Order: sequence, then C-alpha cells, then structure tokens
Amino acid sequence: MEKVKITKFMPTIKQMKDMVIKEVTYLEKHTNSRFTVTGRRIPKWGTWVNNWRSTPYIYKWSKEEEAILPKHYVDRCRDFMTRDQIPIHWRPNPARYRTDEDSGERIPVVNLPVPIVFPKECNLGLWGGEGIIFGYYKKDIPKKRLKLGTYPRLWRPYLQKKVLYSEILDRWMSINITPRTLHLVDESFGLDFYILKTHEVDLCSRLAMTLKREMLLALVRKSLYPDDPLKREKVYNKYKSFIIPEEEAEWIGLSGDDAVEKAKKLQAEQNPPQPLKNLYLVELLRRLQLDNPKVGIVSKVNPFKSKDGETTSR
Amino acid sequence: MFSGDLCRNPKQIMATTLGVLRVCVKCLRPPTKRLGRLCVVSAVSKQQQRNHTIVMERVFPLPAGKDGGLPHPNDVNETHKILRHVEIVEYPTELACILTDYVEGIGIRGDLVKVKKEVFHNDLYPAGLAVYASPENIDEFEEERKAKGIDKSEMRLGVFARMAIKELNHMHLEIPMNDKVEWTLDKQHVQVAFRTQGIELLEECLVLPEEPISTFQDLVVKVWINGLESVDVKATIVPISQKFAPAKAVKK
Repeated sequence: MEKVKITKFMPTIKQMKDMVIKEVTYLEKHTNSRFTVTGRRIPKWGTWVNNWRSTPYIYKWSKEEEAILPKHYVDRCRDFMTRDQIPIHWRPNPARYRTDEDSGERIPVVNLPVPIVFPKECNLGLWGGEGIIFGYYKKDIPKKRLKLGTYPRLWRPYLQKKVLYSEILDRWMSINITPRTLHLVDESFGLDFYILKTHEVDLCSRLAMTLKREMLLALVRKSLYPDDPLKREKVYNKYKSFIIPEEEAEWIGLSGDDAVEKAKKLQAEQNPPQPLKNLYLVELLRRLQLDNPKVGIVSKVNPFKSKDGETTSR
Repeated sequence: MFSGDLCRNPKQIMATTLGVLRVCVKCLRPPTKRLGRLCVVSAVSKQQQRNHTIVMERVFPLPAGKDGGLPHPNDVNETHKILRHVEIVEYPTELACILTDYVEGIGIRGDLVKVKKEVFHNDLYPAGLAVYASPENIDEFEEERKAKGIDKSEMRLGVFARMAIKELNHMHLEIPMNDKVEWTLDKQHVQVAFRTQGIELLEECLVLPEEPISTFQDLVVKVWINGLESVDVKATIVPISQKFAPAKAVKK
C-alpha cells in the first residue's frame, strides 16, 4: 500500500489494523503521542529505573548526597523503585506463547501494565494502588461498528470520604479511599495491619508512609496510650512482630529532600566545628618539638638558663 | 481535582458564564480558555457508584523485544493504547464481625454475625458495638463465654426472643367470649385470642390471674418466654357479637 497523508490526528480503526498487520506507516509525522506509555524518565541520576511502571513519587538525589545517607534507607528506596506492583488494572497472561489468528505464528507473550497516571491527590488519600487509566476506546455496538471511531478516554477511580480508626495512634481520620482499600482493610482486620503488612509499592501514597512511620515509632518508644497501661500492653503484644530498631524507623517514608536535610543535620551534630585556637596551639607545640627533640621546651624558651645549660652540656 | 473550587461559589459561576457569553457576542470566535472553566462547572454531575476496580486489556497485544523480552520504547505505538474491558469482579458487600453488645435485630454479645459493610463502618464499629472477626478476637470471646459458664446458646435469650418481648409490650389483647352462655376464663380461650392477633404460643407459658373470671372486664395476662423472662400483656374480654358481628348486620 502507498503512504497516505492524514490531516486528522487520529487514524481510523481500519488504518490501525493495516498498520499492525501489513506494516503500513500512517503515523510518520505523529510519532509523539499525546501521553507517553512510560510513566517517568530520569536521565541524570539513578541507575535503577523501571520505565514500564509509573509511580506517585520519585526518590532522587545527587551522587555526593547518596554518600551521606544511611544504607538501610537507600536500600528501601531502591526496592521501591525497581519492584513490580501487584497487578490491579490488568490481568497477566500465564501462557508463554500466543498464536496469531491470521498467520498461525507462535509469538512470545509480553506482560506489561496498561498506561496509568498517578495524580498529586493520590498522595493525600489511600487509593490502594489505583490510578487514572489513559487510553483509546471504541464502543462495541454491532450495528454501528463501522460508523463509530475510537476516541481518547480516561477511567478514573471511584473515591469516597470515609472515617477510619487506627488502634496504635488512637485516632479517627477522614480519608479519601476507594472500594479496593476498604476491601483490603477489612481483609487484614484493621487499618494498622493493612499499613504495616503491605509493601511501599502497593500502598502507593505518601500519607500511608507517614502513618507507617508514626506507628512504628510509637511501638518502639512505647508511647501509645500514656494513661492506660493495661491497654498499652495488649496493643503492644498484638503488633509485636512488626517492630524494627528506632534508628531505621525514623527514616521510613521520608521524601528525598527531607532525608538529605536530616542527614546533613546529623553529620553536623556528629562532627562539630573546632575552634582554631586549639588547632594552632597543637601545631605550635609540634613544630617546637621537631627542631630539637632532645632538649625540652622549657629549657629552650627560658632565657636565664641559656649560658649555664650550654657549658654543662659540653 | 475534577470539581474545582468554582462549584462552591455561585457568584463565580455566574461571572464565568457571563464572561463566556460576552466573548461570544463580541467576536464570533470560539473562546479558548474560558470554555475549559465552564467544563469544570458543568462536570459536577455525580460519579457512578461502583464496588469494583476497572480492569482493562489491550486490543492489539504488545510486540516482543529481543529474545522474547520487553519491547523497546520506540516499538510501542499509538495502537497499543486501544483498550477494552475485561470481566468485572465485585468486592463482597457483606462482612463477618463479632458483636460486643446487644444490637436490636442483629444479635447479642459474642455472636458472630454477617452484616452489610455500610452498617459495620457507619454505625457498629464507630459506636464500639462490634469488632473484626479476626482469629484472636474469636478466641477471646470463646474464653469469655466458657468463663461465664454459658454452654448452650439455645438457653439464652436470642434476637427473636427480644423482638417478641418488644412486640408483646405494645400489644393490647381482645378476648372474645359468648354473652349468652355462662363461662369461666380458661387458658385455651386466651391461646385462641392470641392466635387471632397473629401470635402462636403454648399453654404452658401462659399465667392467668388467680381469681376465676366470669364477667366482661380488663385483666393482665403473664407470658413466659423460654422460661427465663416474663411479659405482662394487657387484655380485655369482649362479647363475641361485638367483635365478630354477623354479615347481615353489616349490610344494613
């Protein structure tokens, strides 16, 4: 087939089929799509990037800043960036090969998620890994199949404001959630278990990570229920298995900028600035000793001893 | 994010609509920026309620890369974003929970019951009337039941017994008796009277006043439920000709 110039941005469904089956290029000038399949791209720093997965937030810093940060924090960030999410908006195909209908050829299956975008509001609520799906859609009406075109469309999650209770913090919170989150919370018997059990990749929001940090710190410091010692021990024994050391718990869920600030502050505390007075004094003493190590400093400085000292030594 | 701050202020909505109109009248060119604002205002309509996540699928599957691996980003095309629906799996609407107190119409303390999710999250859990049915909680309530010595659940007053008590308290019983023949009130008369009102019970649970009754008057009948609790039911004895009048009399 010959190449066809198209005035419209979107080709028809017939043209799209030709593009795939007969390898015709209609979209020569429109190579750039309206929204890219890859969710994000970090050209500068960060060797561990999964280009096929979109995330609500990114960890990134310069090479010098990474040297300051503690190792357990960097490892957790790397785990978050490289790990694959549990499939939510798509179903992976368990078979390894598929057969093409026209040619009967065996083609290997590629399992990749559909294009999803996480907006800013995702970080203020608990969406349970759901996002906005971008794509093209064609209505499946048999009579109008030839007339209808494919149109760009977005499918958004169904959000509700609900009141949830966390046992460790002893706090009621009104949060924007999806039906998926409510189902997960009920399955794991409470908000605390849901947040402590699930990985950062599947939580998919900053709010959940801040709650996680507060819960872990409250467990380690035993600062829960200050007035009620009986209930404190009961709750403490319930969530005993999730406890991690306090030094690690302080760093969980911090954004990249916050973590770098904290690391710099810690570094400044550990090696405070020394007064120059002390440094010069030590240096002076060292220099005096190097000139004649046998003779003491006092004998050299003292003016009264100079002549007698020489005669006696010779 | 989908319904902006404009929706809350009616004055601003008026201002935007007027602004759009003015632009349209002055120059016959479609407004560019303001139409977007209008769309935000008109998109206030409610989102469809649903209890599932959307699952999509590619119409044209992705091509394989080298050695059947991931494809190069340049190989991916606009066609690979055409999607279609996969079968929908809804999340369960009911939830199992343990009650910590008597709730009318649902159960008593320690019962493991199934309720709707909305009822649990909006009413029971915030009020402290129910907890999640986790294995730890189930063990806790079973130990409590054994410590109290209540083994048979049949002996206790259940939900329906309590509902029956409430219904009997509001009830007024009418006992029809013959006014031409002499009689003394019996347990069977009362049982029949209850049956006409829609309640069936045994003779054993009825207790009549000690003095024999043979005239039309008001009285109080005691009813024992499961042999544990008693209810006083107010009753009056009515002549049968008044209550069940003959059909001819009605026609006249």
